[in-house]
Amino acid sequence: MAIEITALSDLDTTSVRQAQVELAQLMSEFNPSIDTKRGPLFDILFRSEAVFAAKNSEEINRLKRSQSLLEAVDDPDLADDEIVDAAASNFRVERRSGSAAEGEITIVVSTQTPVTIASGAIFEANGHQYTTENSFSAKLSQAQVASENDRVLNPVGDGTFSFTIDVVAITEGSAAQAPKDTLFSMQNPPLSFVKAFAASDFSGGNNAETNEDLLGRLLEGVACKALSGTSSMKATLIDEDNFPDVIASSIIGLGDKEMLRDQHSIFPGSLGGRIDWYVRTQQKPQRIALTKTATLVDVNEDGFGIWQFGVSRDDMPGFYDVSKIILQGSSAETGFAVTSDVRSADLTALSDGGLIPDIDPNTFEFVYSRFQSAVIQFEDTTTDVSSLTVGTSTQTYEVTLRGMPLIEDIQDLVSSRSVQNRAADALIKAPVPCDLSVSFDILLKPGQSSPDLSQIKDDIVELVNTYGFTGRLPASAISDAVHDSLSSSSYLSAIDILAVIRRPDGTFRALRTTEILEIPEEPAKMVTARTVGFILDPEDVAISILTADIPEV
Amino acid sequence: MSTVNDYIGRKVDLWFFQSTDPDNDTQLQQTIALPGESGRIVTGVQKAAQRVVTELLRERGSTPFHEDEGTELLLEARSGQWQSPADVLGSFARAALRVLNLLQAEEEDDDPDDERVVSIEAVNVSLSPGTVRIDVQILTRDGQDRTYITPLTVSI
Repeated sequence: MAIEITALSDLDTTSVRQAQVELAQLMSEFNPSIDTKRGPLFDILFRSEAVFAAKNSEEINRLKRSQSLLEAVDDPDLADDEIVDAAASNFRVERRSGSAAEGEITIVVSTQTPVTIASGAIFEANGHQYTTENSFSAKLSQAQVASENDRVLNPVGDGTFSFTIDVVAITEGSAAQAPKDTLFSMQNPPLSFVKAFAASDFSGGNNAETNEDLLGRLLEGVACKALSGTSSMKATLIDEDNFPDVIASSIIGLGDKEMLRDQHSIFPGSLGGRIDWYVRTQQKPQRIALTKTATLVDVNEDGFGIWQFGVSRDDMPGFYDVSKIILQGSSAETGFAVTSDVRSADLTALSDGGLIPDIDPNTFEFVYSRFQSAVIQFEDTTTDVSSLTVGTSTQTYEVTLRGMPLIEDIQDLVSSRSVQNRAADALIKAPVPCDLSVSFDILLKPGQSSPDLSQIKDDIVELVNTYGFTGRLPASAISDAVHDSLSSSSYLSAIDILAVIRRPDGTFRALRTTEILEIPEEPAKMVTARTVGFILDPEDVAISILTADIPEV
Repeated sequence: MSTVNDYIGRKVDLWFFQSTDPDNDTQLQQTIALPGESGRIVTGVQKAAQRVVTELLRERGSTPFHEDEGTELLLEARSGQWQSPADVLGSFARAALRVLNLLQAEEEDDDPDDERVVSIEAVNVSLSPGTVRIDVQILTRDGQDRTYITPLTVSI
């Protein structure tokens, strides 16, 4: 809202009338011989002057409120953006502008002939458009590659060929973060075009910061950038030179029941000197595809092979789980089932010599941290193992890991000599994942048009994924987000929320509610409101549109 | 002829309808000052009458931030509803009642009696092509009254 009133019709009638009364009263006191009741003086002087008096009063009021951070926090929409920016600069906080999501698209073509995707080509998925910022040429062989934007046509294995290009979303915001395997349509595709899909989760894509978001960071702006108290630590993390896009973080330290690492001594109780720092680095976990060579370790009674591969601490530091395993070159939409997922701590020295936090490898303190490795076993139901040798035979698979990015980078920061707390170590962890699915009905009146379901899903996903470490997710918050896209005559059914927490020890806890989802208190398992983050993907939001049967009266 | 002494202890307003004559019919001029003059102030029954005329002729909805004030007298006049003196009297009666209630609501106990209006009546109405003449009698609490001639240009 601007400070200046540019149209007198915008003034509040009550304010103008009140100003008129006040002016008449003042004049009556100043000069009792002036008749301040109805008449020419009243019409010419007091009525007109009251309008401008009300205008000035309102502008002064707006200016005062805009300059008051207390008022701006209470009503962020009131404050003029420029004034809030100026006030925030006093706290060394700058407004974050929005950014566009970017990622890679794999294009599948039907023939092995050179293909060019021009700069400015448009792809669409889930209501968002993406474009190429460069021209890409798919070549027949590596020998023909002449520039960094040349790609090689690789056989998929079913007679088609694929290559990967870089695209960026046309509009800013997190809603355009396409997950891995998302199918894209293409405007004016080449003749041999078969399909296009996201090679991995798109990254980036931030919403422009609102006044409310900006004001929420003021405290962190003035805080000392050092790993001392909670505010200072968070201020260090989100400093513009470090990780300003972090969504939320939760710090566990001395005295917290979730802190287990400071109890390694033979003496009972907590000794302090340890920090577990759970960091939500982006809204949705990232999925990355890796090529892994698996070894046949067993043949089960159904005759299917059980294969095994390792995930090193560097493959995807702090990863949550394996979301998909398929044969390399396969285009199968569903992968093989994981039969065993054993996590272990890799505490070998880091190449940069960085500090390794105190971790008991015989516990689960390291899970979802940079020092986590894993051995994964899965059942391959397609490969004939009758001629293969257990313990020797190997095969290559495409493995998709899911997790929060930047865990390693943040760990490097807090372990660096210039930042590290000199009296404690800090272990960075991704939030304990609580994966949600949400379903509900929208009831419309006969003849009413359907709302924008994509927008509703985006709004719900953003709400849940930015909810922070609150430990409670009320269905009413989801309902509130949905109603922003509904007319006043539309209704919602009860909102069914299903949740599964993957505990650090590898076990699962299922929850279900239609009212308030509450994270259980399991500090011995490092599962509490301070350690768990809610995660929701758009494909896990199910909305049904129903038309209410309203009888005629 | 009034003097300054007549205004001692009285509240004044600007004289907005020039050329009034207590003994003859004259056409008023709505202006703060006539050419060559510097304007005048007014009090007493003159002020009361001026107030009545101003409010009678204020079109309802024409005053920003005070859209509920005014009467529909001029609106009805321009709409062509006035086909006979009875039509005019009906419109005037409604407008006059509204103005009377408005002015009496603003009165204070210490207001002089000659500024406190007790009735507003149309004592004569005549219609001629393009013109309606309404003779208005305004009675104040002290018993004095003046009759104004307010020519209005309307479509018949």
